[in-house]
Amino acid sequence: MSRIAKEYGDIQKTLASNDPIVNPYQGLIESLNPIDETDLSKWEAIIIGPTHTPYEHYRFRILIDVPSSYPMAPPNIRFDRNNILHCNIKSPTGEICLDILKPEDWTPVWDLLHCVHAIWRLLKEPVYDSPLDVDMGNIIRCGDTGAYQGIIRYFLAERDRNICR
Amino acid sequence: MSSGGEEDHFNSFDKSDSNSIELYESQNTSEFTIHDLLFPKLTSVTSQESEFDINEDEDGVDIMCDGMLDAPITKSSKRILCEGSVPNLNYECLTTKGIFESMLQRVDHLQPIFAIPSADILILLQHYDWNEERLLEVWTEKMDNLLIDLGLSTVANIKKDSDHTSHSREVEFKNDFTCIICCDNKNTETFALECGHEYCIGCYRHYIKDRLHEGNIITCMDCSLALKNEDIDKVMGHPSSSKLMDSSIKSFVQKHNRNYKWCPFADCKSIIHLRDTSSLPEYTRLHYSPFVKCNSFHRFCFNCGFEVHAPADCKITSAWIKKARKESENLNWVLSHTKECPKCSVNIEKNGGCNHMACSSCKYEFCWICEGPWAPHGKNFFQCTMYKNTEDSISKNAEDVNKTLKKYTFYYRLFNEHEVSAKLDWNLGQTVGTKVHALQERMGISWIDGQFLSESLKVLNEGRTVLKWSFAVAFYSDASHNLTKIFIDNQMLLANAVEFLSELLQIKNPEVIMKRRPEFYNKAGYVENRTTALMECGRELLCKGICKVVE
Repeated sequence: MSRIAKEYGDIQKTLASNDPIVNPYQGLIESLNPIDETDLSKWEAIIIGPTHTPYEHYRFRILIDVPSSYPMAPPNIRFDRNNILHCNIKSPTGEICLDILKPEDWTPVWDLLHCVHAIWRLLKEPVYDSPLDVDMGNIIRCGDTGAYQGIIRYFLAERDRNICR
Repeated sequence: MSSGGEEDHFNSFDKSDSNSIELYESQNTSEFTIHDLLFPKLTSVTSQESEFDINEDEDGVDIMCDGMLDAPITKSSKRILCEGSVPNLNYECLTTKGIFESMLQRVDHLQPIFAIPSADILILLQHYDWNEERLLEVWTEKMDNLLIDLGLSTVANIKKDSDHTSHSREVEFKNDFTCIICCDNKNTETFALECGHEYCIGCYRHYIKDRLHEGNIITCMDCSLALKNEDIDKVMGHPSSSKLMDSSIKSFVQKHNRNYKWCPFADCKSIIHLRDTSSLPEYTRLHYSPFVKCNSFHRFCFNCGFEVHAPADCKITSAWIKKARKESENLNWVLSHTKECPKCSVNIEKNGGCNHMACSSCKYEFCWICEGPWAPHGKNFFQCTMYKNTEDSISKNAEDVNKTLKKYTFYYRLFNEHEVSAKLDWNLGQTVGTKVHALQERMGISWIDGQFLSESLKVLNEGRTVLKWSFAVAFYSDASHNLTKIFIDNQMLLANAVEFLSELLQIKNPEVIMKRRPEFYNKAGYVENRTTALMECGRELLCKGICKVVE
């Protein structure tokens, strides 16, 4: 477990810095920390929606389970339930389809920051070839980018309206 | 140890009978003499079997049963038909070790062409699924690029980390080394390839161990440089690369499952290799099944991997087994959580992730929803959401379903009874050896003369299996057809004959056995004839389409 403890220290240092060389995640990852300071197996992260995407100006919570076999096995990462709409994410469960998070493609050199960053990249560049949300995949495959983005904007506006209430 | 029997590979048996083993030894040594004395003309057929006996000597228990069951007293052409084996089916029985050794020989042949170390050729072959032709094709096209792609060219990788050029693929001991994987700071052994990505030996071992069973090339954790077998052995401290080769060969067998089949019997590691599969469709058309026998004498169907199932063909067998399993909750789970790969029929469990599935064994890419290939989904994705659940059409007529269920239960009970009986017969088989022994001792009968008992048991076992599977055929046959009635009459005749023979074999008193010896011959011969007749009749039902699987 010393690896995850070390990562915790590094993450705190990195994210606290204002220097873009030390902290390249500024404006991407708002926070990444264990939910409970005493339990390093459950983490949460807040990422900021990439600019020029429907996710811009929105923030998303990511839940991370770090298995005891970490870093030999990948962390288990998902979004909050019904919190995001994306063709590689199953909205009701928040499940993410991303190759580097699969055991066969995972390598122990990657760390939690890498993973969260990769998810941020996924928001920016959806992988249309292997959609997890089939309906969203269909829309984008038809080339109707407008509709795809429109639905996401509507979903997110609706989401925040519900939260305000 | 548990191993399957001739007929009952679904059950495992206690093999504690030390008597039997002892008997087997005496039997085995004398077997050659019978073959030679009684059947000089048959030596070409039987000598091959004798060879197996010698090879498999350590595995005495298995052979004991089969050796007894196999003692060929009458081997006629009719007999071959009766066993359901197909003439001209040329196959060989291999092991993963055997395949790997022949691969090594091929590497030696390829070495002069490639002019790179043998270990590198092995990696190339591994990447191309041991397909020499494809490898040579790509090699002539790409040459050096191929080496870079597969992480064999160290030149390309060293450039990236020019400050770490001193690494020489050796385990080194370092004081105060910080491993970036486990983040421990300690005095430890480390390992790195030429790329200089150095980690502590504990992390490296862990990483390799997790990947040995996947059968793919293992690379450095941070770049594409490949670990060779000797590197793996060096890191692990013992020869572990053989495990990787083993799993690589296993995946090769799985990917070439048209020509290679694992022996389905528990704990049997044999692989049957059928070079020419072109005749298989013809056998299927005639409703013959390609039954094969591995070096441990396990007989199974090359097509469907089940036990010998004549007179039923593979289609009837698989339908029957699926139906039988449907009863259990277990299958319901399998049906809802897993699907067969549309290409290689391996069961795949979907435990998350998207609908873009890639079969781990044959690498076929398909859509989980419609089970169609993935490629066309690139443009037209609509058909999947429109996928209709077939369950709607099932509830057509409740009464009809009920009727089928009754019919099924009726036949399944019969099927099951014979399976149970076959198991009891197996127990009987354990005692036959003792009986022959007793005959030798108390009646002064020679071992050869006592063999009619073993032979009868073999005939009984075969008759029982055929009878068992004939109920599956009966279930799927049109009951109103005249031929079905003839088939059922044939079943009755065989059932009676089998029961009679089974009774005879229950006799314990050696004197009675010897007195009724002619009856053994008669009944065994009769069962044999009835078995053949039932099998032929069943095949006719299938050929004429009277017996077929109705969806």
